[in-house]
Formats: sequence, structure tokens, C-alpha cells
Amino acid sequence: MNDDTITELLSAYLDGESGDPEAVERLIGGDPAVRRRFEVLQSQSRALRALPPPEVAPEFAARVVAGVRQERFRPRRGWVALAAPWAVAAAVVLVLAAVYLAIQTPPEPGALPMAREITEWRDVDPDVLDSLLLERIAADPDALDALDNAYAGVAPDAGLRYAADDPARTVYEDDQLDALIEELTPDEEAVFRELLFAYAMEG
Amino acid sequence: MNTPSDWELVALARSGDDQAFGQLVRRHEQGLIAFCHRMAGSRDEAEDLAQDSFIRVYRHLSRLRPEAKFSTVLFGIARNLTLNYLRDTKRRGRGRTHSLTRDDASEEPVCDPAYTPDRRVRLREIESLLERALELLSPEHREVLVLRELNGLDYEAIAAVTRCRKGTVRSRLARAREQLRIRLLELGGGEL
Repeated sequence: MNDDTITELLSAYLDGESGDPEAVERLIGGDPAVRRRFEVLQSQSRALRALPPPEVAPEFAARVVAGVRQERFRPRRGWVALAAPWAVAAAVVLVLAAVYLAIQTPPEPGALPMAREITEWRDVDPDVLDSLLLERIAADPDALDALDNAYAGVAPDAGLRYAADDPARTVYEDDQLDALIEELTPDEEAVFRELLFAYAMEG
Repeated sequence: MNTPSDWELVALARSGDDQAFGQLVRRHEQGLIAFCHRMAGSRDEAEDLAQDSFIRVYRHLSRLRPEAKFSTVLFGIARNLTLNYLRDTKRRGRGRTHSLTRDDASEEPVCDPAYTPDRRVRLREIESLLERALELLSPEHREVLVLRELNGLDYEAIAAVTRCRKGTVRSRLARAREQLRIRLLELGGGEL
């Protein structure tokens, strides 16, 4: 068992999230070095939990409520501003559709290609996805922020559904795509992950 | 009278009850500001980020569905905003404007006979080291550690907030703890 595996077992045990706590206890009890490592993890955890919480300004809640009141009564924005989030959402859908069209194989007669394609992550051609992503960023320098805003507007709680989603449909652990992600800058990676996530949500 | 749940307060706020929304804010402000503070590294920015998060929640009240914990939705939005802030800060090439170390370092801690002057000094040192070590972690390591240790979220909730699998949270947390240990050693703090 290598060091990383032992640390992961100890870390999960410390959090009460171990799948086999008895086995971890045997590991700790049977090796002084492992015991020492566990004690260090425990100390770190205790020290972190003892960090003083930030003081919250007494008027913070009142300030937030004042902010939401302003939000409610602020004048309606012009049609361009109103249309922008929908335009971004539409752009995301178009990119996803383009990805789909670029990677799809000829459908079997009578099959529903869209339904089949979306659940088959590993059929995605990383080169196609990569070039689409880079084109999108190059065409619109504000794409990062716009995508974030559109995403929050369309599905602020989407992460929850993601967590409940079938892990087989997600791509975060896929070796092929991980290799691709390594080639991206952090900004590109952020958009890339959002696109993949949005794509997964469509499934 | 029973304390209303978060989702009951959301329902009231949706119908225009600002007091209910204020109650929701007071219920979560401490944890949310703590998260933003540790992630962004600045108390002032933390309040702004937390305020923006609440306002975004308000903006999307009608779209929220009580299928999960309200706090997970809130932290998910705060996480997005905080990562955007860190990204923008990095892009503009300016470092943090405030240290993570407490600004009120000269203030005396709570008077407790168990806290001898030496012990107080040692505690301050540990706090300061931990804060600096946290700051040196990557955002993806820092966020899981903060959500777990400071906000007390379980793996499932962290997975929902950070949009990854529970297994990824588990391995990422282990790596974050190992990185924290190494940073503390580099900073001369020993192994606590």
C-alpha cells in the first residue's frame, strides 16, 4: 500500500467517511508510523477547526436585505441587457449542438441519435471539443464571465443534480479528457469544465 | 413555535417577505463569510462576495427547488463567485491586498486563566502559520479543506458544492491535508 493510499484511508477515517473503519483501525494499531501520520492529521484538523471565525458586521444582514430591495425595484433594463443571458444560454446550447453534430456517428435507422449520444461521454472527440472551446474563448473574451452568469441563472442548484447524477456519465475522471484538460490554461479549463458539465446536465 | 426551515423561509421570501430573507441571511452569514474569507484571503472581499451570493440567491428564488439543502445551493454560488474573484485577481496580476492573518492581532483573546501568555503567543503563532499555509494551497485543495474543516460539510455536500464526485472529494481532501502538512513544515511550523 503506498503513502497516498494510506493518507486517503486515514483522511476518510478521520472524517467518519471510511468504508471499512475497522480495517483502518487495525492499520493504525499495527504500525507506529501510520499511527504518527494519523495523529498529525488529527492535530491539523483540530487546529483548523479552532481558527477564529470572522466577525460579521452587525448590519450585514440589513445591508443584504437593502440590496435585494434595490434589486426588486430597480428599473427594467433595456432589451439588449435582458436578452444577453438568453443569448449566452442559446450560445451554450449551440456549442453543445455543434459538438454533438461534430462527433455523431451515422445513426442506425429508427434510432434516436441525440438520446444515445449524450450518455456516451467516451465517444466525444477531444480534438473537436478542444477546438470548439478555444474558438469560443477567442471569439468572445467575456465568455468566461458570461458563461458563469448564464450558468448561475439557468441552474443555480445544478450542482446538486450533478452529485446525484450517474457517475458513469461524468467525465471528470476520464483519462482521455484529463489529458486534454492538462493542455488548457486555467481559464480555458474553467470554461471547458462548465461546458462538459452543461453537456452532462442535458443527459 | 417551531423554527422555520430554510426552505420555508425561501417560500416566504419568494412571496415578498423581506424579513424571512433577512432571517435566512443571518442563519448562514457566519459560515458563508468564513468560507469566502478563507478562499479569497480578505475579510472585506469576503463580505462583498457573501453579499453577492445572497443577492444571486434572491434573484433566483423562483427557480430554487427544495430537493437538497439550501446551504449547498448557497455555497455553490459563493464558490463560483469566489473562484471568479481569484481568477480575476490573478489575471490582473495583483496579489492579495490583505493578509489572511487577522487584522486584530493586537487584540487580547478571551480572558481565560488557562491561557497563559506563553500559550496565547503559541496559539497566535499556530493560527498565523495555518492561515499562511492555507493561502499557499491551490484553490481546489483549499476549498475542500475549508468546506470540510471550517464549515463542517460532509463529503456528499462538498461534492455537490464543488460539482465533482464523492470519490474525488475523498482523494482531494487527502491530498489537501498532505499539502497542508508540507506547507506547514516549509513555514517552520513543524507537524503541529
